[in-house]
Amino acid sequence: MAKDKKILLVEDDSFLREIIFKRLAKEGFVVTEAEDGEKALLAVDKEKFDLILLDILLPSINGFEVLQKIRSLEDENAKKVPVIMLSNLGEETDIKKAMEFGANNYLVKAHFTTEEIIEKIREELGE
Amino acid sequence: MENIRVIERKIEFNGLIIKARWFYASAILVLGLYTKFFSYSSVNFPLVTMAILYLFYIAINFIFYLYLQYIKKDKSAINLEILSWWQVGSELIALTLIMHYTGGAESIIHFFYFFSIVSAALIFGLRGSLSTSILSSLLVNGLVLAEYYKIIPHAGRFNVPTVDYLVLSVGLAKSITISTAFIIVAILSGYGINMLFRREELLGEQTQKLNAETEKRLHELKQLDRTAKLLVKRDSELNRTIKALEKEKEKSEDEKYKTLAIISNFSDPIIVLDNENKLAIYNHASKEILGVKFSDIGKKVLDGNDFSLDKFKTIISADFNYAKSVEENNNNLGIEEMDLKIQNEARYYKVITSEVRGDDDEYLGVMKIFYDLTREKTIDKMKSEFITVAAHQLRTPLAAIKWSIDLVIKENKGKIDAEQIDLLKKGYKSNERMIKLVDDLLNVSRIEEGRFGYNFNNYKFADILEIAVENLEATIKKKKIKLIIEKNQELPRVYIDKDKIGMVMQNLLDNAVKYTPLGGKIELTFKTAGDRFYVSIKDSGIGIPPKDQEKLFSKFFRSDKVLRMETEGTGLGLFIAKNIIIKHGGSISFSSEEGKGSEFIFDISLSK
Repeated sequence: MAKDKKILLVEDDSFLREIIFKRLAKEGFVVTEAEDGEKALLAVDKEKFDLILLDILLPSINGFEVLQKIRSLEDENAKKVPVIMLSNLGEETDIKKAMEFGANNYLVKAHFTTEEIIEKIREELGE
Repeated sequence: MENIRVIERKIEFNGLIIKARWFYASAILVLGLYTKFFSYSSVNFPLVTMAILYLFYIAINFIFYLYLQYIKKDKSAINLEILSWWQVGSELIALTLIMHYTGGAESIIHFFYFFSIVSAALIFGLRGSLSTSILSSLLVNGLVLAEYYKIIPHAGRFNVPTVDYLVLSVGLAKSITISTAFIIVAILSGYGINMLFRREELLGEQTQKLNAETEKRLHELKQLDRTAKLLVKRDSELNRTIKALEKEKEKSEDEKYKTLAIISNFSDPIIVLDNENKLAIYNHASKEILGVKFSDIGKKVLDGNDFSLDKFKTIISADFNYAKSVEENNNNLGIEEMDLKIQNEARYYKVITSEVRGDDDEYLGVMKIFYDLTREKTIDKMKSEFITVAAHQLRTPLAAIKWSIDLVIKENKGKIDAEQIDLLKKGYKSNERMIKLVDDLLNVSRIEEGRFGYNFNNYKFADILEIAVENLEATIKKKKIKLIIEKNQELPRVYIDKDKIGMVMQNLLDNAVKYTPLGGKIELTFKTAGDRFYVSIKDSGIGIPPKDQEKLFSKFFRSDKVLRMETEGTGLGLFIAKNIIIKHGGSISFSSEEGKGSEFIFDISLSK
């Protein structure tokens, strides 16, 4: 089950990161944290994840760019990793853009509880 | 009709003849008396007979004189002729009688006949003188013959008869000679007088003509005079009018100058075309910003009556983008939005095109005013940027609060007491409201910037309804509200943006639930008409006060009544709902009675 699933959590706000981390850890996921786009890409390079929770407004490289880069990786498996956008942005244009770049889902942070987020994660993981 | 001048002349002659007759009648008398008493030989001159004849003659002449006075006034040609013949006739008889009594064949008064002949000529011309002379000849010769043959007694001039009486041939020779003289004198005088008359007649005619001409000229002169007077009057009127016009002109020049000054000093560009679409006026700003040149004045800018901005490229040399504005106004030919760069700085203009009409509503041309919206646009942009940034930045802490409270509530059961959990739940609810407010604020700024994107498709209306009702189920149950959803018809598929209409339904239902008291009723009914699907949400709530009804769909509007009841709500819900419905080609309306409830109805499309 969730025990062996690895999740990359990309979030620049430390408090949010902490809450989600706790929540996901409690559910049994193996969570790797990244506080900006650059670190996220480094992590993706090093490790293979089952899912990525990706914020958009990030220092250095933003979430859209991270998503684009992941989707253009050479490694076929790494390339196909499910990505759920978890952002403050909620404009149609943002959502459309993210979907075009290959996001699997798009969640506006304040609109969902952590439980709902985990539900969406499970959906993506096919559980 | 005889010439009046000739008649006047004849009257004059008659007067002269009558005057002359006094003298020559007297002269005959004096001559008779002289020859009787002072001649060397005694002459037979019957005094009594002569006196009677003289007096008779004078009397007749006096009658003639009176008659002439009458004719002078009457001016009748016939009366004048009668008078004249009477004169001639009576004179000849008188002369013949005198001749008889003064010696008959021996008498020497023949030359007095000349007077009659000449006077007849004077009045009747040749015809008068000739007939008088012939008559005279007949009388003179007849007298000689009558005395010789003793038809009438001979009153000898002398005591002893002379050869004139005794020898007929001598008497006749004398009388025939005299007769010949009569006729010669008659012809001469008659002819002369005829000529005189003809000249007189000609003169008369000419005079008449001249008179007529003069009269005509006088008439013309009078008319000219009248015309001149009128002209003078009109001239003074014209002068007055001209003065008034000059004044008016001065005034209007002044006005024009003022207007031009206002236009040319106006900080935004203004372009005015005359009624032939030629450039009439432009101001300094037009030159600076749009690049209109002085040499363009009078240039035909466009043909036809499409006054959109790209037709003005004939005079606007600056590069610009433009688009028709969605704004509309009845008083003008359209509003456009225009942007261009001045020294690399973006400038935005709202371009209003309107007809220029004079006082009498006559068409004078077209005016384009370019309102500089750069500042407003910049402020708007800044405002919406601010809202966007603020809202997004708010979402992070809001999410943090949401998640952490949620976590605390769910994972610390038993560690905190019920009261604390209640407090946390209230805090959570407040946070949710805050999240909703941020969403609404973002939606409003998107609506205002035209970034509120739509994604239309066919959806089951039932699905949308279900979600909206589901979200409120708990509250409905808690407030014991009776929710009646019309089930008479199957709900159709509608052509909508699912999320947006979901928002509208959620909003309206939220309001209905919020403002309906405990145990109240909410009724949902539907109607299909043509391509429209009508949704009605009727509650038995507090209703909307009439004074608030007008402002209900305004941004941030919240009724005092609602404010007193509860502070929840952003005042943006209905504003957003109305915008969404309008974008769906529908309309939203309501009817409400305070204390009884409200009904909101909106319509959406069934198909594309």
